[in-house]
Amino acid sequence: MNIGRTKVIYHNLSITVIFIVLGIVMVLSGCGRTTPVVSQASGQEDNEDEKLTEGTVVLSDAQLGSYGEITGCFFKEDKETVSLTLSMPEIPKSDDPMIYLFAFEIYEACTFAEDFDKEPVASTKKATESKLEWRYESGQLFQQFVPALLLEGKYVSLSAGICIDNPEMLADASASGPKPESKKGLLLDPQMLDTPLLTDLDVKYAIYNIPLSHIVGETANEVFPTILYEYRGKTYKFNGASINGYDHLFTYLTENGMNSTAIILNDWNEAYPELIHPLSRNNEAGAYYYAFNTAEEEGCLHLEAIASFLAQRYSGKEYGLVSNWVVANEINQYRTWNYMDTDDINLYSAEFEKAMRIFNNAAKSNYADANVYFSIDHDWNNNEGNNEDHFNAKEILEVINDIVRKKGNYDWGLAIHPYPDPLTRVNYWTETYDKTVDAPILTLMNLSTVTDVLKQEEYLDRNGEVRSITVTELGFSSASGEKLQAAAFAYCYYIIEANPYVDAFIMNRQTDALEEVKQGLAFGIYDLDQSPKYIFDTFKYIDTDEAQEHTEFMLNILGADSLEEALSWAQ
Amino acid sequence: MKRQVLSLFIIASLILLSSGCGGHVTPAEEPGRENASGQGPDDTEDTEKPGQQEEPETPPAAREENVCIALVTDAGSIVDNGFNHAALEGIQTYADGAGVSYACYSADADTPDAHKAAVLTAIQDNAELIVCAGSPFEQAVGSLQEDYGNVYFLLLDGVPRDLGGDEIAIAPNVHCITYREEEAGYLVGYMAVLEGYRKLGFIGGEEIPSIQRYGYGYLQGIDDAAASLEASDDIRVEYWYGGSFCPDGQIEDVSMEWYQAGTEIIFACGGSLYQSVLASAETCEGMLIGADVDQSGISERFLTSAMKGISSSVVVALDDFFASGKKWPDGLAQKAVSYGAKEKCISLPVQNGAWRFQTATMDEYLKILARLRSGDIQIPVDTETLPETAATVVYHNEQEGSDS
Repeated sequence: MNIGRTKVIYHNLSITVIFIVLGIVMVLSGCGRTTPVVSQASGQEDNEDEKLTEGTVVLSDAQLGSYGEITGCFFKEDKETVSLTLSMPEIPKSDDPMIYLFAFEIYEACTFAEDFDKEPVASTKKATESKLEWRYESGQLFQQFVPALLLEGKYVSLSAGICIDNPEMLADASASGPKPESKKGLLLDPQMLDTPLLTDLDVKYAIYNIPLSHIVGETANEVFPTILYEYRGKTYKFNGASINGYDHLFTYLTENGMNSTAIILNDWNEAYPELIHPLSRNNEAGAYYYAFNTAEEEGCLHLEAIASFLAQRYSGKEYGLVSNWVVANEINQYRTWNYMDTDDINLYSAEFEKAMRIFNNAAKSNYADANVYFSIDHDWNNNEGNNEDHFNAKEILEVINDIVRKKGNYDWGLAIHPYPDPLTRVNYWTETYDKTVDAPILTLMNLSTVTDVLKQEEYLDRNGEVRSITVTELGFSSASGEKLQAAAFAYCYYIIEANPYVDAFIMNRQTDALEEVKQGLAFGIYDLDQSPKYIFDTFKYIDTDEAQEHTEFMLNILGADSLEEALSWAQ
Repeated sequence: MKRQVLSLFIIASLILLSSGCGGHVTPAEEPGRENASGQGPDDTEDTEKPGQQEEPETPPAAREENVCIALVTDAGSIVDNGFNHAALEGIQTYADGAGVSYACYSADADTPDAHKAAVLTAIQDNAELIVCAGSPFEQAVGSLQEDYGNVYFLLLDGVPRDLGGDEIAIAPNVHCITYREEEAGYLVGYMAVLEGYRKLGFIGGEEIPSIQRYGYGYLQGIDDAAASLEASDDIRVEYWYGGSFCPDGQIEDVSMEWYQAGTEIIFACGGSLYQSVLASAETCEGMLIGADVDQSGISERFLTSAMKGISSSVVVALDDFFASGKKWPDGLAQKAVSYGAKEKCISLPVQNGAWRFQTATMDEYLKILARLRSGDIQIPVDTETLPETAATVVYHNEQEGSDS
């Protein structure tokens, strides 16, 4: 029994008195495993309790499992009380007149096993429309809540678990992020901060990677020592020197009016293997990044601590503001970019969704306007049912959306990387693409493929709007010509500018990356030696009144008579 | 997604090889063009139906039907890891990226008439831009540039000449490219010294300006690096023109002698003479520096290569041509331009497997390259005067002259 860990609130009675009495009674009686904490009923209520106990319908365990529908799980205006509303067609028969609400950690299965010994966080008398309310405690932001009945001495769930769906209620309402004047973004070269090589480009959206191995753990740096962070009773360590680098980065970006996006990447870390999902804990897989551990207590709580720390630190107060968080990279490429040793898309997606929800709730609870994304590449629907190499992005989108809706909707967004295929290709406009939702490849020329999916009612966000879509990575190599690269960028920008569903185009990248150059890919605005390419002016002026002067060549390369004609190809 | 990068090049190469590209006065047929436009067979149908209306939503580039770019080469192999090959790579790189079609034509003999015939074949096939690979085509371009004013020419490493071999005015539809070989030579010399080499050699094909520029730049790069390391007194360079661009017994003998006498690395500069130097290097466990193109794939004994950017220059020129609406823009039309570091056409190979420096760093290379690009380092191009160096340079041709 763990009566001190969670608090039970009884709304119709004197809370303090009952709490004490119940505690004494329970301790003395030694009960607690299967005997719930119940409110004291008066004598006049006995008959009603009996009726409620008998209910109006008799259901099996299996039938009860989906009998209730949770219609909300949210912070109330006081920001201290959480309310869960439950709807049932009739009153099911059970051992007593009560409905109980249990909290499960996000890594736990929401089941009532033989050794189940949790205490309910709330309870109320059965009704077709019930409301269970309790005082919020730290950590519950990431928990899932399951209503249950007591049947033949065991708890039986009434629905699947659901999470709190309005974490933004906890955020400081005063925080405010930049409102970009255009959709122009860039993957930054950290060596160019504070230099004209960045400021001259007038970037509106900036993106940067945060591999977890860079920030977790200790440092010997005396100037920026290890940062200790308390989370749910445990102390977690962050590399002060590395964090200081990010502090400087995000402060700089915020002060310069750039909308910041951070990509959270789970790279291999010998010192913290618990951060890697147990199905991914194989360094020989040779993946770039690995699935987050959302299956085990130690790793998952560590992830929660990391998410809480980062979201709190970069919430626009002392160390700058991160407005957007991309969780992992190209998750449909599960062999390389978010490794897990399974081709079961349901299992994989369920585990990933937990990580995304952790970051969503952490980010939203610190900065209400934060956006959380997961990213996909161009392999939209081309694996022909064989998941051995990758999951179809379309399918993973469907599965994750389904999971989110069942566990409590939130405003996740979609980050897309619609590269031409292969990556060396620049002339993405010269092919005729399938523009239906079943298209094999997602490119700039068939963005309707993804927007048509997200426009469907079941995909809408909590406000009934189409979710945020952002192109968080897309670049064109200059190896085939710098003007060709500039034309490809300009056309891409105009396509995205004209698309009301795509919020931003964050280009890959500010400076050529040596590893990419070695593969014949030179995506940068600057060469390896930092000399500017032809695209420099195109990028700089694309969102200004001088754009036409710097993009006229584009139509020659596209073979179009007008921008309108060129844009019609991508409709 | 990175996995797909390599396959493109492999497939493209296979298609070109299998298409007979490099045959005699034979346009590369459908396979090459399919690849060039990025289309499958259904998208590259040649027959146009009269009066057929184009679908408005289809980008024009997707309907490319004529040969847009023609590469015309001499009678040598087009996949020789040399000049022709580099020119083809440049066309292929641009065409693959831009989605334009291309074909290859080779002369059936190395005579002015055969070269001209190859160009005329490309013109008859309605090529819009003809890329002429090298000085063998100087007379062909000179005689055709005005008669075919609606056809554009890109002449590599040469300028139009009349039948007597005299240079003539460049027509508005022609752009000529020459190269700053001295910058490439400078880079390999500088980096070799940074790598730790102190006994170096240079064997040029013939004593002609382009080879001299390589050699003199090499000496100046060596000298500057040695000065920066205060190692000028430790440097010795053997310098010789072998008189042949082909494998040659004398070149093998000389290079063998040098290696055995302590020369650590030789810049083998000109055509396929490297084969003779390589034979000696393998015997003596010496090292080489390649010329013109990345020669790292030939042997592990190539430390690096002085790439004069044939491929890159073709890409740059084609990029300008198409961005200007399929014509030469001002600054290129009717002009011969020397392409170098500033145009990003001079470099060392950095691709996987080609970057073989163990001591000299990429940062050091990039800094030197940036200084060349910015003009901070100026390399005299006077081939009439030997460069002044603090390091010891032994000019073996002068010794031969004095010996005789």
